[in-house]
Amino acid sequence: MSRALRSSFRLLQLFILILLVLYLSSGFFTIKPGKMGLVLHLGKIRQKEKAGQIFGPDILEPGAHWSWPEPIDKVVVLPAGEQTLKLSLFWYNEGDRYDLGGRRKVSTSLIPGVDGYTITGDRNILHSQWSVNFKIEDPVSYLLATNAEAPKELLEGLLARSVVQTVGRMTADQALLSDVNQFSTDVKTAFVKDINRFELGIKVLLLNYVEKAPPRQTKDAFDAVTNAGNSKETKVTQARKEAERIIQTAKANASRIESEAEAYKTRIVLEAQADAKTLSELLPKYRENPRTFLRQLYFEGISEGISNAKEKFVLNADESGTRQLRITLESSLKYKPKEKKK
Amino acid sequence: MDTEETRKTESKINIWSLLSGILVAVGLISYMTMFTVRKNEIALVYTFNKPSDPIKESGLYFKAPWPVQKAVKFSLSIRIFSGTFEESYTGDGKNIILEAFVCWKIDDPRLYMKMTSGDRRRAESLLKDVVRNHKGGVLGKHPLTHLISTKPEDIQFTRIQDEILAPVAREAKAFGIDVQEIGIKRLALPEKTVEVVFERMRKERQKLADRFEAEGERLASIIRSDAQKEATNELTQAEAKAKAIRGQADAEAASYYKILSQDPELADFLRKMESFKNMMKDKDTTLILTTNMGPFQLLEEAPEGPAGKTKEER
Repeated sequence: MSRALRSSFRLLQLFILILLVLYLSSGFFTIKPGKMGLVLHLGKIRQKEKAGQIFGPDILEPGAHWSWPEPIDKVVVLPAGEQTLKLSLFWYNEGDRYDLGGRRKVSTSLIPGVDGYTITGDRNILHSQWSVNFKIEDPVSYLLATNAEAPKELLEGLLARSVVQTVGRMTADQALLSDVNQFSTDVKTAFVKDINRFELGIKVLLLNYVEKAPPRQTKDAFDAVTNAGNSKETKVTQARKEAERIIQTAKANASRIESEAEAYKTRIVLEAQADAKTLSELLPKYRENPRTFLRQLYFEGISEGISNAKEKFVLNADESGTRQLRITLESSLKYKPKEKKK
Repeated sequence: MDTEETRKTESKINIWSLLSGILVAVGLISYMTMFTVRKNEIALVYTFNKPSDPIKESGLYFKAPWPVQKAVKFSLSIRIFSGTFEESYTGDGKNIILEAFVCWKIDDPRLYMKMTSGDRRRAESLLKDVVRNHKGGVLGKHPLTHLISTKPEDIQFTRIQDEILAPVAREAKAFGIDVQEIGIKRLALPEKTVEVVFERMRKERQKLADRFEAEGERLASIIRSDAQKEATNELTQAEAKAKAIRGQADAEAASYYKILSQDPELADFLRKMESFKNMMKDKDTTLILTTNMGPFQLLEEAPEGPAGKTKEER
């Protein structure tokens, strides 16, 4: 009897012990890498405490932790890293609309609610895709605002509105080509403002204007503009080249004209100078006996000149002082000047 | 001795069994009677289906066990849903589809429970109807340019949202709901209108393409004529400069010509002689002379004076 009692007593002891251990050990949990945790102690966020001082909310890092088991404490796990949200609300439906030949069928219109798009300020239709990278910066605000459910729909709605609102003020050309950066900056500004207003505790890291396109139904017309733009560029480039050539030629001619004038100047002045010098030198002798001096100069000059000539022919003068002479004037063509007759 | 020990053991067992019994009972009772209200949560305690005042402070609370009392908790976080896609007319008769999103949260949990039985979907379908009722009316007061326009002064995006929000928020109060925001999520056009827009876009693009072509021509011809102008200018300037230089040269030379005018006859002779010599410097010159010229008169007779013709051939 007593033995039986004793053993059942032991069993009871063990049972209670196991129950307690199980209860307390159920409070152990781990936070996985890339996550963070908050503990709600009796519904209030557990604070980091040390020697009675409070250091703000106790944000749990990856690793092992302990809290009182539920319902006293409740652990909330939130993603700590970067998250991405893609917005394809403004993209056309690439679904399975194929024609008989198996090609993707492009309908002549866009169906509201099926094909997404935005309307620009100049009432054009554009497709675009966006993505936003964010992370939870303030887990307490995040928890309060979202109840720990990923606020995908809210972010999507706010981002979509930012896009609709921004693109509604732009022209299609600005949104597609010329002001692409401004476009995404404005969307980001509007989006961040909304997120802060809702106190979501989220920080927007990056907003991407991932893709943009005119409707496929108008693609040819848009391509034609691109081509026209290219041909305009080509024309201008060609004209610039030509202009450069014209100007360079003109400059070359101009400098030639100037240098010719300079050369003329040098020549004329030097000649005049030389002439004047010669005259001044010769003048005294000439004045002594003009005729003799002149004749002397004349014959000196003539003989010097004649001696320089390559070929010399001296013909007998007839009474009238004229003679008929036939010459082939083509020595420059290497003809042998043979047929010279008297 | 034996009974003594048995008695001791028995009393020990009694203590332990009592303890374990209490522990289990406490656990069970606390599970049935305690509940926590979190931050940003609100709770109602129903006593036989009669709700208490809402409990807004977070903390640990007690209630009588079920079926006497029941605690229902509500999260106060933001909820969002998107409205339906339907056409409405703007003030200037344009047909447009506006999809709105609605941000709301529970304001009065007792009212909310009464109107929706705590069913979120039911609450949202109620809200959807309210939004639909007011959306069309507000849009009808605004031209399309208040939503989309390249003129910033036309845009009344925020105002339109607020105008829809005001009556919706007022009416939603009756459901115990606080509508915090209504936003325009998407703007779209009816299928037929889209085709018209496509046609206009194509025409606009064609115009643009034509303009680019024409602009190319125009710019190119401007660039060319500018270049021509510059070239002409360049040449004119050079010629003017050259003229000036020549003038300068002539002026400078003139000072020497003054010296020459001391004896024009000699000067003239010297110049002729100089040019004759220069001409003859060309080594290819062939000279044909008659005996009555220059020194060759010697071949005829004694010289009488300078005279003669030169015939030169190159």
